[in-house]
Amino acid sequence: MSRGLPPEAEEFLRRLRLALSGLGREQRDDVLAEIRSHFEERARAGENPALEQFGSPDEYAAQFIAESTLHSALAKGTPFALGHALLVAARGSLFALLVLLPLAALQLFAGCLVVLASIKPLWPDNVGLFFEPGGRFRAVGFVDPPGALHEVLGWWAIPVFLVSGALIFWASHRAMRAAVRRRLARTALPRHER
Amino acid sequence: MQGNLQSEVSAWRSQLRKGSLELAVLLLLRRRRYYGLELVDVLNKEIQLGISEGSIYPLLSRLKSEKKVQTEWVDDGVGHAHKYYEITDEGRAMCKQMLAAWREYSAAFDKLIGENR
Repeated sequence: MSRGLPPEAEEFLRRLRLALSGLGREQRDDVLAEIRSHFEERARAGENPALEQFGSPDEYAAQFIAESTLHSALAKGTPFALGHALLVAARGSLFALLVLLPLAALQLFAGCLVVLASIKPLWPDNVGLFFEPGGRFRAVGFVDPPGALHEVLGWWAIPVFLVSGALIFWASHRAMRAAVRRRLARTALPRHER
Repeated sequence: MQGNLQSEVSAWRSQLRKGSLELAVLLLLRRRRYYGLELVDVLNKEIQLGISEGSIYPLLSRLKSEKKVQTEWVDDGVGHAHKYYEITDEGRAMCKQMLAAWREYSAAFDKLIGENR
């Protein structure tokens, strides 16, 4: 089918194939076949494919890949997929640090709370919410040895940690999904308006 | 100075066009199915949207993953197949809402222009 395409168009398609390797095979082949068909129709009409209107193969591929990664992350919905998609889309920009790090830290904290709840039965005196004798807050978590510190939650620590862990996880997960959606809306804009 | 102003206005015009590209594509697909190059030609010749040839495909790819359009490869007997895009019910619903927003915006603008006359 490649008959009749000028060599620079073949070269563009070859480089685009490489640049699109981040997509699934089926989607990549579909995009390439479509653009080849576009070039072939122009060539058939005796016109040169307007390659300059596609930009560089890498830049052009990035327009497909960023959207595809963000979309599949939203569909998967796992924290890892969402975080990874944000990193890919933001390409290490300040945005990634500002949004991703605090949210990842919150999710880690939520995970710690759940772990604390599950080890409370093993170390009932060392796990909980600790205050100093004077009533000043000292720590939440695992303290060894507790010494003079006063643990205030008792067995309530288990439901409190589980529920607050789940709530913090849920909220940060929602925030991450919102960030991916926002990012997706921005990649949908024409390049120079971003 | 004059040249500067002209290039500023033309940059603004190109932003206007690009902002309305998605709605224009959905409106065309409401009429019938099109393939990518056909869409580019209609948009540029009929309504002078002035879009670059490549810019249609990432947009169509997004509309497809959002299930606003569906695609089908068809051999029209011209020597190479065409990938046709057809609007879905979801696409029609979005087009309707976008059109409502467009009309609202345009009416507000007409009012503003009238006041400034």
